[in-house]
Amino acid sequence: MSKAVVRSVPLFLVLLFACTPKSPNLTPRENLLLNTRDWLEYAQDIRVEVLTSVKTLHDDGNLSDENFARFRTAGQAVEDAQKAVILAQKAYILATTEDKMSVLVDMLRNLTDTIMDMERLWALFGGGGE
Amino acid sequence: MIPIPLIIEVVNIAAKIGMKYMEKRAQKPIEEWTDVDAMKWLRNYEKELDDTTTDKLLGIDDD
Repeated sequence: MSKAVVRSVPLFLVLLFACTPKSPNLTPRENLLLNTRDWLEYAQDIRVEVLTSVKTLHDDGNLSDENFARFRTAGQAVEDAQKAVILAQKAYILATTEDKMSVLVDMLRNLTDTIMDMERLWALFGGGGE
Repeated sequence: MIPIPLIIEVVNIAAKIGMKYMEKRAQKPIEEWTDVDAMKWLRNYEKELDDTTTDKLLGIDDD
């Protein structure tokens, strides 16, 4: 089994977990808060894990400056998306109108897109190393 | 014969998932969250994010 496949196992399991329908007893609001919490936690875990490995690879001379810069851009995109979700969630919690829900859902979708972009980049390097 | 690195990787993954599960169990159920709980969780998350910015993780000096 290749290193890339082995590395993708935890990502798959977490995605599976995050996408599993939540308890039917939860209200739409609770479901959204739960999904948001799961994705924010996942974004933080995967960003820290990948970038920590990227720094080690670069420090050891196993990653070029150009590719290091690509990971920096991808990491910053996830970080910005995390901040956008935080702002949207705060607005949603404090809001009395439902339009804030659609903003939060949009920001959440943007966060998952940026996470997947970073994961694809990471997979290009077989989960680490050139 | 299963390669030893694969076994180690699988054990690591299982440990990570186990830790995640325990952390989730320790959290207050979402259906019991008040707005104050949600905001408190977000503030803690923001603090963690501030401590782990992309540039900090990559060892890049902002100056």
